[in-house]
Amino acid sequence: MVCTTFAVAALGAEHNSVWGGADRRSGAGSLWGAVGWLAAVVAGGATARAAIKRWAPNSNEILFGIVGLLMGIGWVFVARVDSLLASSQAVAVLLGLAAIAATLVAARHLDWLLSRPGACGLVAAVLLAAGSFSGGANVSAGAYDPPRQWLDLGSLLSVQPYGLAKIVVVIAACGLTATAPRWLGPRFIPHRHVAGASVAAVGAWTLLVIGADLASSAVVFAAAWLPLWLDGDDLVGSDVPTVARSTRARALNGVIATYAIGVGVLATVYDRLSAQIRYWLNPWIDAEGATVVDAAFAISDGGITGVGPGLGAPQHLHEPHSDFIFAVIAEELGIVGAAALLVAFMLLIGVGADIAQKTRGPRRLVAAAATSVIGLQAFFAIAGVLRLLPHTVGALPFVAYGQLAMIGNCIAVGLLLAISDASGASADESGSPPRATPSRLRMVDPAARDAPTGELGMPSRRPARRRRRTAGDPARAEPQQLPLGDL
Amino acid sequence: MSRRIARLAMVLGAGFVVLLVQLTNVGYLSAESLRQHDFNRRAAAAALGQARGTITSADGETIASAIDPDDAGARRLRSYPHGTLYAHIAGYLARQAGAGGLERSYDAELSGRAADIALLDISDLFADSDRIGDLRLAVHHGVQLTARAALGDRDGAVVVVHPQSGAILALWSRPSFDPNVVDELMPDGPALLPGIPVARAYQRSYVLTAGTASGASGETLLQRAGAQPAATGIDLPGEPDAVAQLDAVTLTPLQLALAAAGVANEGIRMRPAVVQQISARAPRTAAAAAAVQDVAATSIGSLFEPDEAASLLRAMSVAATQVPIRLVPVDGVEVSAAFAGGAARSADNVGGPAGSWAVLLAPADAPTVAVAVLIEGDAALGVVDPQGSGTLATMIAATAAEAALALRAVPTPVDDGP
Repeated sequence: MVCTTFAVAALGAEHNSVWGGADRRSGAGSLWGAVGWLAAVVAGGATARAAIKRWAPNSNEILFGIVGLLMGIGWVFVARVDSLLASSQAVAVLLGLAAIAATLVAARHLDWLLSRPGACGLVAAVLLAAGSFSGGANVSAGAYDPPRQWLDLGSLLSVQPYGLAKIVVVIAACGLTATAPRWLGPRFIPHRHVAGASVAAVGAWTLLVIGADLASSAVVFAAAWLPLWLDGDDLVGSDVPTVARSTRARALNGVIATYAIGVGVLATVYDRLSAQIRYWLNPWIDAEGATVVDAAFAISDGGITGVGPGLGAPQHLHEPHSDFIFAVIAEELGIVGAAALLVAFMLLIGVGADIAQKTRGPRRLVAAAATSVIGLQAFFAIAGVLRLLPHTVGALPFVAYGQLAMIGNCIAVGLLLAISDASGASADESGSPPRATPSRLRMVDPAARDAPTGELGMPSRRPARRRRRTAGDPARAEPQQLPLGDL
Repeated sequence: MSRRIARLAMVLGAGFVVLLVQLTNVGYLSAESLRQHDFNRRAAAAALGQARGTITSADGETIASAIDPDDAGARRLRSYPHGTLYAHIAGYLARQAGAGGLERSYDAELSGRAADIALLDISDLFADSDRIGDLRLAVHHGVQLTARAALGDRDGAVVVVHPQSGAILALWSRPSFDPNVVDELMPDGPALLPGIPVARAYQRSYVLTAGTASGASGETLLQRAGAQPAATGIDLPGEPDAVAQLDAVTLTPLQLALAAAGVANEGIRMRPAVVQQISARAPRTAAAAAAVQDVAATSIGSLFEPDEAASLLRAMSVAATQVPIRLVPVDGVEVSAAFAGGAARSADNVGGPAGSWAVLLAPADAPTVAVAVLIEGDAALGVVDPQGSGTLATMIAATAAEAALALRAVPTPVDDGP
């Protein structure tokens, strides 16, 4: 934690020395302004760290360090690219840190949220609609126009509702695995996993048609699909019949295949998407493809060790503060610095997966899905810059400019911290080392799974639905899930 | 433990490993070709407000020089006193258009970033040197002027090579452009190239057939040259990797000139070089230049066996007696020549009007000059030569050869020997 704060401060100081030296264009006023905002960012980080110590004392130690590092690097580079954005990105960081703290407090009501997947889904749909339609202004601007999806609320607060929507989708989908709303009751739609994934696919297609953005459509779909797919491995309990589980997995794979085919069809018939793919395959044809070409030029200028902080030429890049922030970092810090950023994201995924493994029940799904969504978002953002995938919106989590996206990702981090805190605390209470608990359970699981709980095609009456460690209201009757063997 | 979560994390991690690989590819493995790319304007932008070396011809004529970067009123970065004459060699450097020609391929040397120039002695390891590099070309201003005058208002190319070193004595191609106003020619940057014609001499290719005058020797020359259509490795950017062979032998004028030079140099072709010497100096000083690098002559492979080259040279000398040319005597001594020629059509427009080509080696017994001339067919200018008699091209080649022979002291760069 201390080293995080130190890293932020060191990077900031380095940046300021660059400002004071080479870039004389920014006056003394903005220099002191930047120092002030840097102080605010560092102080915010320290406060958030204190909040985590207070509200989640047993939470994972590494996670906030990684996130703080990413936020710090992000702020430094956003402010370096455009000193006018220093203040508003500092506000984004502070809002994000506040969101982490608020999530820690609110996480005790997570079960309440998880029991209302329908409402969560509705909120997510409203957020996505707000983001998609506000991006409509760009439609007339040309065939290849990177979609924006920014909702402009004044200079200090421009937001990407989509960034927040992802995490709401995750909660909705995780809730769906645990509780179904009445309208998804057994009588009407028995296979709610498949139903939920199908609804998500249709929603993601809609998002693709309105927003013309491959990455956000894929991430939103993954946010809904992943919890449904992860459910039923061995985390909910051994009582799930093997046959039903594998059938369900097949059905879910069918949904993802259908989604992919739909995306393929849309990409061929829809002009704005096919243009994105054309410029991905061959960006050299004309000036329209120059966005990724310019990023490649920037990265090639950086070489292995980079041209040095503040010495790059981000003015050649399109949207260097958001879409192409990775290219700016790769140019100024080189392959070494950019690789460090990649490793930070890999660590984040590893830590998130570890947190998921150490807990059980729907919270495990929340942890795994939230981690994957952040990881996927980062992957799409960087792959778009490196021309590994078509370049679409792709705001790099924690690093790129954007406030609501930052809040959304920070809520995910807050959830991960709260979940790790709960499992850490229970591990302490039981007096056994935290790693021993799941492994002991694992010893039991295979035997339980092999027990003849249900035969093929036979409608087995399943006993107690699932064990939930963090069960909120035992009185609340959960709708019984029908066996899925008859899918 | 959930195996699916573990698998998911593994897949995501693998995705980031792929990103790492691609990052290394873009930032390191293909970085050089990206830096040299036509669309890359970063070199020009970096040159803004920085000192930059000059480019001079072999006989000391200034071809490109810096405009004082502190001159705030200056709208250009570089001054090209001879305008169109060296546009395809020196290239251009401008705010919008970026860099081309030597300005791009020798950007590191001109700006002083190259290690040879930045690190002249041990103290340079500890202090930033602000040295810049000057380029001295093998191209002779006089020969270049003669080549332009001889080609006149016809489209085509004239290449004059010193066969034993590969030094380019003249490289003129028309149409050309004025590098001083390149920003006005392509206001939207190099992504859209409306005003800049492709350099005829080393980028555009032509379908060549041997004419009756040169007979079997011209046929042999073309066939051997067509069998090795790879890039010559000239120190200018944008040469195609290899020329696709169409129905007949297809070559660039530079490749044609090098094939002729190979005949004159016992079958061995030398790498063509426009730059002869790179020297370092402190900016804002006129002299005190320390030569840091002489461009060494290197072989790019043999085209003929030595005895085959000798017999081909004899056959071409015989062919030269069939065409109505007679070179001006040097120091009162008659100069005989070796010749081949024929019809040429643009590879982009094979059905178009036929122009002609000619190569000339002089003196015939031990050639020190190889000239290739290519004239594009143009009915309006009366340049139509389907039979490939090549008289006009031969006359132009003879004029250029005379100018080169008149130098007498043809530059002999450090010869490593083949």
